Amino acid sequence: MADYKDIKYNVDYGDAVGGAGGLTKIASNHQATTDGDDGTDVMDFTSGIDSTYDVYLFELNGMIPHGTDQLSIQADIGTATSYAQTNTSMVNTWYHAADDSEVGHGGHGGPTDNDTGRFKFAPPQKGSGSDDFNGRGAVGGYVYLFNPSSTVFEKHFIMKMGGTANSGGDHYTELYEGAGYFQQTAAITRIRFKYNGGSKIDGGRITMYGISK
Amino acid sequence: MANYKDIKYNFTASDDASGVGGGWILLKTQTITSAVAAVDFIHGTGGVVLDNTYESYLIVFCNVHPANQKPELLFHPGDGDFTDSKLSVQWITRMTYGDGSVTVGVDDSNDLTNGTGGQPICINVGNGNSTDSCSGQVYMHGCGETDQWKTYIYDTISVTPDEMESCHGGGNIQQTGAIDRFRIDFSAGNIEVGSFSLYGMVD
Repeated sequence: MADYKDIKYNVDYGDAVGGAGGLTKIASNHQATTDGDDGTDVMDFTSGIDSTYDVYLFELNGMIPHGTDQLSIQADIGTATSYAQTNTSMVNTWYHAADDSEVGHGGHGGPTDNDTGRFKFAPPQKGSGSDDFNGRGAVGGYVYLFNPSSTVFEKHFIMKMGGTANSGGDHYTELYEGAGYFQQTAAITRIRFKYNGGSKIDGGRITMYGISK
Repeated sequence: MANYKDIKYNFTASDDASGVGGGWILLKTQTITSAVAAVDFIHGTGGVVLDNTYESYLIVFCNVHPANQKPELLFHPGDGDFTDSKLSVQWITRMTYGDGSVTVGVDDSNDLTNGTGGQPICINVGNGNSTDSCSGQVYMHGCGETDQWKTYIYDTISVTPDEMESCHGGGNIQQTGAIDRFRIDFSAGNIEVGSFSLYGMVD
């Protein structure tokens, strides 16, 4: 195998140059669906959220609860662990049933209004049915968090999530698009993802990136 | 002998690695300057990587101009073919030229109910003017997983003869096998012009 000294001047960038980009990976949480355990209670990001970047991106993949539940996001300051920052949010939801009995708009998601609890930002997942979705349905998407280190402004976020949701034994596909803000002018330093009803995270990966400024 | 471009991403980042630059990695761009029926991205073909190397993929397309008037731009993901079953929902924002009126609502004529055909991601794309075209982005999640269904979400804009339409949607791909390809084409006629780029996101 060639090592660096052999190829250091052997540059051919080709027609479609890749690799440049404004994202820097900071941390990733991963829970395998195939490990046979009940999963993890939370996925926390407790370091790396500071003034290095103005905007942070959380990319979510293949999120699956161990049970029936809805993914939510929380924030905290300093080294606090309550994750009970007051937030106000709104969510637009769009859904389509697999049996084509329903297609429409609304329901399920936020809003929160001066809520110290969790912001439910993804479709409710899994159910009691026997459809394939019950074991295989997943959601994915992204969350942007703006200027968390500011000590002047409250902290804004926007998100979009989609995938397989449930209603009883029949599955839906649902899209969630939302926005909101944490009513906190102190720097937000940590973010937590968990299921709202206490279900563990049975599968999925969440990766946090900083967007270069 | 290996070139730099061949090995520039030959590293493994652990789950808790930090400071890894270039979150979006450009994998391949196809620029269309003479008419083609479809644009395909297939793992292992022409430098395309579409497997579990990346958990998220982003497709960005710019100024795609059709040969016909007002076709839909279709997205066909698949695991060995382009016919995987999909359940989707779409909503649109439409601005009518002249009076500037704007409507927003569910577009249940362009969703899929476990359909195996292409997902319309842009609608009524104009070709009457050379500037008529569509642009947008599609995210795919978990393509390389083999124990769960996959998800996709998109946001696009179309310039039509009578109005501007912005489509927003997504759904699931009811396939536990790994998604290793996708096709983009129009519901009628060729793609005359346009660029299509595939990016993988470093996890």
